[in-house]
Amino acid sequence: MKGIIEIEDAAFSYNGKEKIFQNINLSIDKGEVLCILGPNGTGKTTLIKCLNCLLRLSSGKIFLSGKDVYSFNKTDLARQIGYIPQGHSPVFPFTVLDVVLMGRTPHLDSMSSPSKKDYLIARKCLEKLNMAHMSDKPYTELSGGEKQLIFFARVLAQKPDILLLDEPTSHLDFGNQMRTLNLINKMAEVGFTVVMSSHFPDHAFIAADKVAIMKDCSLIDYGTPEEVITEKNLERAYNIGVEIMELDQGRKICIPSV
Amino acid sequence: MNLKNIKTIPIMTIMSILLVVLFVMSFLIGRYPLSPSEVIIALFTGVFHIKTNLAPAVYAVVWDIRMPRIAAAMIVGAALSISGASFQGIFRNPLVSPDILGVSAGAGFGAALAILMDSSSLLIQIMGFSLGLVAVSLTYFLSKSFRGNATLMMVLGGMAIGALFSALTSCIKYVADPYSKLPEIVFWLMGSLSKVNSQSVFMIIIPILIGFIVLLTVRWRINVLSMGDEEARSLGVDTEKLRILVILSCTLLTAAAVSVSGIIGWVGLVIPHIARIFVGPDHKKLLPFSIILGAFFLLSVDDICRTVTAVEIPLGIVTAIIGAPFFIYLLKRGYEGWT
Repeated sequence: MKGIIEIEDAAFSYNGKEKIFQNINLSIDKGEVLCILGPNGTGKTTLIKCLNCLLRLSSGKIFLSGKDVYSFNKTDLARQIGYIPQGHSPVFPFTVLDVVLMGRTPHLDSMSSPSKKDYLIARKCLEKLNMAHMSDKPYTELSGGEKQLIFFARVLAQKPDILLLDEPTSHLDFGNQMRTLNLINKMAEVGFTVVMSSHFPDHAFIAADKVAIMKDCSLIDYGTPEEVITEKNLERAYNIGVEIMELDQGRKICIPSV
Repeated sequence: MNLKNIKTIPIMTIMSILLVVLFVMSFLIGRYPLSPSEVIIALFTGVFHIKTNLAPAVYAVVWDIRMPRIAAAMIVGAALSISGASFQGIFRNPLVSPDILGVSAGAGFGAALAILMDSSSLLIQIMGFSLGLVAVSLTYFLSKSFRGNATLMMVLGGMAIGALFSALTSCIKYVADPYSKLPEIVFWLMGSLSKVNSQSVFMIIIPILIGFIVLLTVRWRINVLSMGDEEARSLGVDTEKLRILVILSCTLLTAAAVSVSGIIGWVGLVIPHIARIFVGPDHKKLLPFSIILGAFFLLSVDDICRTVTAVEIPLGIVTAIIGAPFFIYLLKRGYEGWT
């Protein structure tokens, strides 16, 4: 059976000469969490942006449930794929509810504003994440962790099948990182397919079903975390010595050597 | 319903009522004395074509002399304000004003050229309107030819085109007859409603209506676009199309406004900020409120222009003289309309 996302021979280049990545082949099953690891500048973010057509592949193909991603119109694509960007620079102090409401955009007629039903959905999504008490606050006044939750609420309101998360744990404190990973696990349990990038191999052990490691513009390994996150692969990817240890409960952690 | 909604509805209603009161009161200002009851009767019976025993002069003053000017003040104020609010949203920048893409500079050049060639006031208006559109189209196509951040390129392109047209306008001023043409050009550029007649108001009704209707229709989507291009696209918004639609509407509005009033700065920049203080940043409420507030502001300023001195002060000067201290006062009180 084919996966919900199929990436075939994908390559990307901004100027036609320098490749950002090439020869990427991945198949992601429904309900799976894929974590993309790799050093800075290997094209993790670019690959994620290609998945929801923010950028266009120079060659290769991406299929969503068997259908070419470029055959979707913008609205249909947004109903399939939700995206939480890595950074967000706020301009206007919209209320939390207004921001979550924006998740309803692909479900609205292009001429209309959100209806009562959309407000209700937005409120429910906030409640799910225990953020209902924040509804009327300007989102610009929230902490980094709270802001992240608002974006999760927005993507819930969008009701896509696939979630693209660009480094969801960066900019978060120790506790919020774990809470975000737990949230990702929970979302996968209810059926979301998640593709995320990360700088922490440990996080892949916690939240990923599959791991892809990118290095020098291409994929160096792909498989389950146990198969892929090895001392050899991490050394190759990051050029540092890494020791992988197993904790008593069976969870693995990565210790970089100093 | 959340708290914001409950708060917004009364302020909208209050402001609308104030606008209606000011509208009626504005008819009382002028050399020919009218009583409030005469104005109200003339307005109502005029609309429904009912015969009354009011003097025909009263009708003439209300409908032919004061109405065009009052209507123009409200339309221009509303048009500049809603355009400013929309532009600040799509360019994600609270410092943007409706003439950022060069529309005023283009319109100024068009009008100056028409004045130089001794054209009729109709042609001056048409030239102002069309050159305003030409300037923005140039900016748009210029920015398309650049690589890089689309909105930034557009703003920078607008600055260049604006500078170019301002220089051309200066050229015309330089060659214009300093005793007749030059003062007329300068006066036009300062902005004034003293030459407005019903014809010039009728001329702009269609572009103004198109602009209002389009902006009010897409106003909620401006929220999404103001979160940034990538986020808006990931939410299914065709950002390029929406941006063109908003720019086109704002340009129609601003060009039409400028073509009757000349260049009036400040309104399009500041009214959206004042509106945000009352109704918050949500464009769904901000745009309708900007219309009402802008109409109210410019009508009151124009009333002042008409009454304070025997020789009329250009509107563009008074908007800044009144608007700037008021804005400073609001800033002093603490303003969190943008971060």
